Amino acid sequence: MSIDRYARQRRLFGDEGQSRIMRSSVLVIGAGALGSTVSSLLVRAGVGRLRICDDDVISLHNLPRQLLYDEDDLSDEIKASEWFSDWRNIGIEEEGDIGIFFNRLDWENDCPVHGAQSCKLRRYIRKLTEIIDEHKEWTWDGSSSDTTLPAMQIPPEPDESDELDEQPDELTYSYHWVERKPMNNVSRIKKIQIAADKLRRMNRDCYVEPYAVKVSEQNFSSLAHGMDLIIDCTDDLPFRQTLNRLCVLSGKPWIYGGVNGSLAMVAAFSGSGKPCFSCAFGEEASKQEPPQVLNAAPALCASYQSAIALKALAFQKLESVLWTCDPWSGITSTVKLRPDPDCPICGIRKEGEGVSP
Amino acid sequence: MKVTVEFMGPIRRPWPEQSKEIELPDGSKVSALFSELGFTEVESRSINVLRDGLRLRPFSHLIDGERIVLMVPAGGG
Repeated sequence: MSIDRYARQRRLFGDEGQSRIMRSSVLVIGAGALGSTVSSLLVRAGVGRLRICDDDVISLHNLPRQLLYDEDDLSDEIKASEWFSDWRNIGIEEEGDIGIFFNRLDWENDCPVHGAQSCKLRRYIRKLTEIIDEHKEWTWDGSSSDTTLPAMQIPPEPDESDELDEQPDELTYSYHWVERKPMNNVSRIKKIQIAADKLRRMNRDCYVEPYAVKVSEQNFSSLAHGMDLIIDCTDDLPFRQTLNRLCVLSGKPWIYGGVNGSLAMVAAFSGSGKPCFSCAFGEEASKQEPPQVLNAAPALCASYQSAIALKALAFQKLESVLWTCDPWSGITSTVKLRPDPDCPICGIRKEGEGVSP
Repeated sequence: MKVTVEFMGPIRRPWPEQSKEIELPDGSKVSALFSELGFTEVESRSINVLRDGLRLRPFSHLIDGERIVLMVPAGGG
C-alpha cells in the first residue's frame, strides 16, 4: 500500500485542489526572512514549480529570521569578518584562537588594523599581523579539531612606557576592529544557491528554479512568464509599487507581505488588478530603514502568505484582503479592499468624471 | 461629528488603544483629522485612510458616525 505524502492536505483541498497545487507554478521574489518560509511551505505542500529570485548573500545577522539558512551556510570569509569582527569575540589569550581568527581572514580584503580605535591596539595588531605573515604556509582546513598554530611568539601588549607614534587613547576592547572592505563576490555563496539546494531536499517532486538576480522592470516579464502566482518576499516598499504596476499590466495575481517590529501585514491582489496595491497604499512609498524585527513576525507573515497562496492555487480564488497581526499585542485586523476609481494604476474613472468626495 | 479611528501597521499612535472615537467639527475632511491627531504634513503623506476598504484623499469629507482605518504599509521582509 503506497503512502500518500499529501494525505492530510487532500482532506483540506480535496483531490482536485491538491492536483491543482501540484500543477501550479509560483514565483517567489526574495529568499530572505519571508522567502525562506514561503518557499519552504510551498515546496513541502507540493507546488509543482517554484521559481525563486534573490541576488543577496547570507550574513550572520540573517540567521535569527531566515529559517532556510544556518551557520554552516556562512562562508568562511563572512565568519571571519563578521563573526570574529568584534574584539570581544576573539579571546586572544589563546594561541589557537588567534591562529583560527587570523588564518580565516581574507587578507586581501579585510584589514584588521584600521578599525582599531586605539593606537596601542593598532600597533599590537600590526605586530600580530607580521607574525601571522611568517606562518602563511600554515593552514587550517577545519577538518581537524587541533587548531593550534605552530609555535609562535605573541608579543605582549604594549605598555604605557612604549614610544607611541600617535596620541594614545584609552585601550578598549569594545570596538569592532576588523574593517570590512568589499569582498570578492565570486568567492561568496549566493543565498539562492543554498536555498535551492535545501528546497530540493524537502521535496524532489517540486521543480525548483533559482535565479541569482534582483527582479526589475527589465527582467520581470521573463521571470513571471508561465507563473500562476507571484509572492512578494522583498523588503523594499518602492519595489512593491513597481511590482504592482507590472502585475496589473501583465494580469498576474500577487501577494504582498511586510513586517515591522512584531507586526505582520499581508494583502492579496487578484489577476484582475482591481483593487491593486496602489488602491490601498497610494502611489508614494519611500524606502524605509531596515526595521526592528521580532523573528516570529516574518514567520507569521510568510505563513499567512503561503496559506493564501495555497488556497488560491487549490480553489483558484484570491480575495483582496488586507490582514495585519501583531502577536506581541495580540491585535489582528482585516479589511476587505475595494478598487479605487481614481487609482492611477488600475483606476476605472474616465477623464472628466471628477474624483470621489 | 464623531468618527472612530482604527490604526493598522507601523503608524505612530497618539494613544495606546487600537481604535478610538474622536470628535471633529461637522464637515471635517481627512486633512483635519490628521491635524487633530497631531500628524505632521510629512507624516500625513505616508498615511493611508480607508473607509470600508476604499482609500480616501486628504480632501475627502468624513461622515458622522463612520469608522475609518489609518494605515501605513510594513516595509520589512
